[in-house]
Amino acid sequence: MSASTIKGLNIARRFAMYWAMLDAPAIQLSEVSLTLPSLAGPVPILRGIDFSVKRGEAVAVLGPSGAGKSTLLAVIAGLEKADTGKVSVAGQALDGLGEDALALVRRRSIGIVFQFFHLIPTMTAIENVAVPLELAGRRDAFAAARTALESVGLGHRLRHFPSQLSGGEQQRTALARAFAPRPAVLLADEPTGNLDRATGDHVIELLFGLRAEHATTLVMVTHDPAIAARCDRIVRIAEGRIANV
Amino acid sequence: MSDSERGLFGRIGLAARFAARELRGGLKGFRIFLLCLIIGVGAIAGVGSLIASMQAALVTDSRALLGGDLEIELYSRTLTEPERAAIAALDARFSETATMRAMVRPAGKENARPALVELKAVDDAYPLIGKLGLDPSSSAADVLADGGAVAEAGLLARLGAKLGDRLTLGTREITLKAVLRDEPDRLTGGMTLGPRLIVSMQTLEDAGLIQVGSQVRHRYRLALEPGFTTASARAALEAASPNAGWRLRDSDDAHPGLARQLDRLGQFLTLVGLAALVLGGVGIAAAVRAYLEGRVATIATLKCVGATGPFVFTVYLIEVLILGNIGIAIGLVLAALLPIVVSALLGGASPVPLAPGLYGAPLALAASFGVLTLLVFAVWPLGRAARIAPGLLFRSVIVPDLPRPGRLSMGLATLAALGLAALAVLSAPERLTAIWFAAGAAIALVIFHWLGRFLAALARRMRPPSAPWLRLGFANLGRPGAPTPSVVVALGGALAVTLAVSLVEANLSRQIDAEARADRPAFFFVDIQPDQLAPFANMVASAKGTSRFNEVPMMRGRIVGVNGAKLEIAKVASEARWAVMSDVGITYASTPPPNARLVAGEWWAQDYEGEALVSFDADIAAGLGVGLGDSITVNLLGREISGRIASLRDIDWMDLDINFLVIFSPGVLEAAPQTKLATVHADEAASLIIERAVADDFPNVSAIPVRAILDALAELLGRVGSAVQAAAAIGLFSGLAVLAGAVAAGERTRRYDAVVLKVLGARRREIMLAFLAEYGVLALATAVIAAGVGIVAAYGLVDQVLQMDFVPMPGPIFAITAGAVFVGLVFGFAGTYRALRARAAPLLRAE
Repeated sequence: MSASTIKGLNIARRFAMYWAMLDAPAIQLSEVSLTLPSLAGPVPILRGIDFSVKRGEAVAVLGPSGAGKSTLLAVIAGLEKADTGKVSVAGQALDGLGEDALALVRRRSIGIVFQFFHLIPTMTAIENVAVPLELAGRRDAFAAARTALESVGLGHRLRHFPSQLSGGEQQRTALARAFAPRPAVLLADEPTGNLDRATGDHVIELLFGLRAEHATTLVMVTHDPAIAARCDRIVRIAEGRIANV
Repeated sequence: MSDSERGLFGRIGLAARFAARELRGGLKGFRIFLLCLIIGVGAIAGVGSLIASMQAALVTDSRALLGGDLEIELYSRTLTEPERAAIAALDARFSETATMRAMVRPAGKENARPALVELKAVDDAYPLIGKLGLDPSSSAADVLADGGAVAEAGLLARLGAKLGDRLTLGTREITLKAVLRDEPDRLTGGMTLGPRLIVSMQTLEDAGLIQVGSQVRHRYRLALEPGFTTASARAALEAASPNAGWRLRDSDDAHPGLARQLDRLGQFLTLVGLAALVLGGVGIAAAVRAYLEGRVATIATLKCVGATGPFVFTVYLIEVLILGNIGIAIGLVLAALLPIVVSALLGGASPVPLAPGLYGAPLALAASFGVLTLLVFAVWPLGRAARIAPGLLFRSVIVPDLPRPGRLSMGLATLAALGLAALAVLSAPERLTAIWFAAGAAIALVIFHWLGRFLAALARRMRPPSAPWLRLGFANLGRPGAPTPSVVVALGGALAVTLAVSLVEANLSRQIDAEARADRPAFFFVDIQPDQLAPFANMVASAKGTSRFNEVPMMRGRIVGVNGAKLEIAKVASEARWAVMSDVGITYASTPPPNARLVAGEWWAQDYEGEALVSFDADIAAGLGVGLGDSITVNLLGREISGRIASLRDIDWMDLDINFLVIFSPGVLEAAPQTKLATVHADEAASLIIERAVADDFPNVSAIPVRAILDALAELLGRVGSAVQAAAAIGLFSGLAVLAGAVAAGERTRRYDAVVLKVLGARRREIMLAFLAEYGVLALATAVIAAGVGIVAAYGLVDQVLQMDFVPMPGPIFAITAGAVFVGLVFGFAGTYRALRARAAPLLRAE
C-alpha cells in the first residue's frame, strides 16, 4: 500500500471518528446506581439510571425532595462516583478516573451553577470568574472573565466581593463563572431557588441566552414548571429512578 | 494548559496568588496560632541569644576574666625560684594573687561572732587587665596599702561594720577602706560560702594565715608582650617545669567549666523551649483545622471548578507558611532584643558577663524549629482539607467535617517530625540527652493524645449526671469536634512539666532541710596545722555541748595520669571532668571512713605495708575508664605519686560529711606537707564558744558552719530553680494559649447553644453553669492526668537521676490542680459571658 494511500486512510478514520462524536450524546448514563451510607444503614439514592442528553440539548429534571435529582447532577459532574454503571460526559468516560482526573474533566468540559451560588468570599467578582480559567492555564483569564461578567450585566461590579453583591448579582457572577470556560456541558442545581421571582426570571433569561449563544448542553434541576417548560425535554425522577421523560 | 504543561513554578505561582486572595479574609482565627509560634520560637531564640551573648563575652572578655593572657594556678605552694626564672624569661607583665577561706571579726570585740570570708590577697600589679570597681572610687594599690581592705557590702552588713572600721584577720588588724563593686577576674555563678574580702599580699603574710599545707590557691597571671603567643609561652613553661603540677590556662579556655555549664544550661533551656513550641503545635493544629473547617465550602467550590487535591493543599500550605513565618519573625525579633534588654537591666550585676548583640546562629536554629513544628502540626489538617469531597456542595447543609488525610500528607508530617527530632539532636551539645528528650516528648504527646480521646469517649459513654447543667457540660466534652484531646495534650503537657519541675525542686529543698535537721557536724575546720591538733582537740573537748570530734589529714593535688600515661582530659567523660580539671582533696587512712560504701574491691588491712594502694570514687573511675587494678597518678605539691586502685567507693557528696575522692593506703603520704580537716558535732551554745576560741587562739584555722553550706546550697538551688520554673512557665503559656484558642473556637457553637437553650426556657444562670461545668471538668480532668504524668516524671528524675528518696509532696500537686481548675473556670466564664449576650433573632434567622 503506498504512503499516500495510508495517509488517506488515516484522514478518513479521523473524519469518521469526528462524525461519530458529533452524533454521540453529550451525557450518557447507563445502568447507574449509587448508594450512600447513613447511620440507619445504606440508602439507595440512584437505582439503575439510564439517561442520555444530546449535544446542545436542554433537559429539566423534576422530582420530589429526596428523589435523587441533585445526586444525579453530582454523578454527571464527577462529584459523586456511581457504584455501578457507566457515565460518559463530553465523550469522556468518568468511571475509573481518580479525583484529580475528574477535576481536570470539570475544568475542561463542565460548568456548574448552584442554588447557593458558592462564590469564594475572599475573591472579587472578576477573580471568582477567572478561577476556572486560571486553573486551565489561560493567559487571558482576566480578560475573558471581564467579558463574561459584562455579558451578564456586571461590568460595573468587577472588583466587588460577594458580600457586596445582592443575591441576584451573586448568581449572575456564578453564571459567568460557569460559562466563561465555554464548557460543553452546564449543570444547574435549582439556580433560582434562593432568589425572588423577578430576580430569578432575570437569571433564567441570562442562562438560556448564554446557553443558546454557546450551544451548551444544559441539565437543570428545578421545581418551577415554567422554567422546566423552556427546556427541550423534561425528565422526572422519583425514588432514584427515572419516572418518565 | 494542563498542570504538567504549566510546570512546577507555574503551579506554585498560581497557588500563591490564590493564597494571597484567601488571606484577604484577615487573621481572624489565627491569633492563637501566631501566639503559640511567637512564644515557642521566641523562647528558643531568646535562650540561644542569651547563651550566645554570654559565650561571646567569655571570648571577648576572656583576657579580663582570666586576668591576663596566661594563668598559672598552684595549690598550697608558691612558685619555686627556677619556676619564677622561667616566667621572667617570657618578659611578660606579671601579677600574683592568693585566695583562701578565712575568718574575720570586728577588732576589739572578742565576743563578736566571726564571719567566714572568701579572702583574696593581691599584689601591686593587680589587676593586669581591667579595674577593681570600688566605692568610693580609688586605685587598688592606694586602698590596700598599710593593712587596708576592700569588702563586698554583704560582709559589712553581716558584721554590722562601716568603712573605716577595723577588723581582725588572723594575727593582724585591717581597716575597711572601700566597698567592692566589681572584680574583673571573678565569675559569681558558682557556690560561695562567704563574701569577698581583698587585702594586699603583705597583709596576708602579716596575718600569719599561710602555713605549710594551708589550702591556698595561688594564681599567677601573665600579660604577654607582642611577639609572644600563649601557645609558645605555655610550651616554654611546660618545657622548663614538666612536673610542676600546676594548671595552665590561657584566654582560649579561661573558664572551661563555665563554658560547659553554659552549654548544658543552654541545651536544657532550649529543650524546654522546644517542648513549649511542640505543645504550642497543638494550638497550631487546632487553629489550622478550625480555619479550614470554615473554608470547606470554598475548597469544595475550587474543586468543582477544576482544582485538584494537591493544588488545594499547596494553596493553603502557602497561606499557613506565610502566616507562620510572620509569627516566627515576631518571636525572633523579640528574642534578638533579649540580650540587649537583659544587659541594660542587669548591667554589672549579671553573674556572667553579657556581650549584647545580634547572634544569627541561635535565631536561625529557632526559626528552623519553628518551620518544622509548623509543618508537623499543620500538614495533617491540610491533608484532610485537600480531600474534601466537592460533592457536598450539593447538600443543603454543609457540615465542616474533614476526611482523613492521604498517605502523602501523613508521610510529609512524619518526615517533618523526624526532621524536628533530628535537628534537636544534632544541634545539642549532649546528643544522648536530646535523644531521650525527643523520644520522651513523642511518647508523652501520644499518651496525652490518647488520654484526651479517652476522656472524650468517657464523657460520651458515662451515665449522665442528673443535674441538666452538668449533663450538658459533660455532653459538650464528648461532642464531635470538641477540643478535649487538644486541650489535654497542650495544657496537660504544660501542667505536667510545671508539676515535675516543682516536685523535683521541692524534693531537693526537702533534702537540704533534712540535712540541716539530721545529725550533721556543726562545723568543718580547715587548715589546722599538725602541731595544732592536740590543743585544738582539747579546746573542743573543753566546750560543754560537743559530742564528736573527727579529724583527717588533708592535702590537695591533681589527678594527672592513669596506668602510667599522662591523662588526656578530652577522653574523660563530661560528668567526671570536674575531678581532673582542678585540684581535689586527697588523704590517707588505715581504716575505711565511717561513711564509706565500698562497691568494688577490698579495703587494705589496718597494718598494711606494701605498694601504694588507692581507694577511689566509683563514678569518677567510670568516667576515667579505670577500675580495680588500674593505677592513678596524682601530682601533690610538684611530686607525682601513683597508687593501684584497690577499692571503689560510692560517695554521696550531699551527705555533708568528710568525703575524699582519693584515699591512699598508709605509708605513702605521712611525710607530705599537710593540714588537718576536722568536724565537730556541737550544740548552738558550744558552737559559739568554739567559733570564738578558734578566732582567738587558732587564727589560721577557718571554721565553716555547715549551716553556711546548706544556705549556699539552698541559694544556688533557688537560683537554678527560678530559671527552671521560668522555663517551665513558657510551656504553661503555650498550654494556656491553646486553652484560650479552644474557648474562642467554640464560641460560635456556645452562642448557638445559648440561644436555643434560652428559646427552650433555660435561665441564664443554668446556661452559665453548664458552660462552666464543661470547662471546669475539662480543666480538672486535664490537671489530674497531668498530675499523674508529672509525678511519674518527677519520680524518675529524683529517684533514678538524683538518686534521692522521692516524696509526692501534696503542696505543689494541689496548687497546680487548683490553679488549672481556676484558670479553666476563668476562661470558660469569659467565653460564656460573650455567648450569653448574643441576640437570638439573627442566629435563628440564619439557621
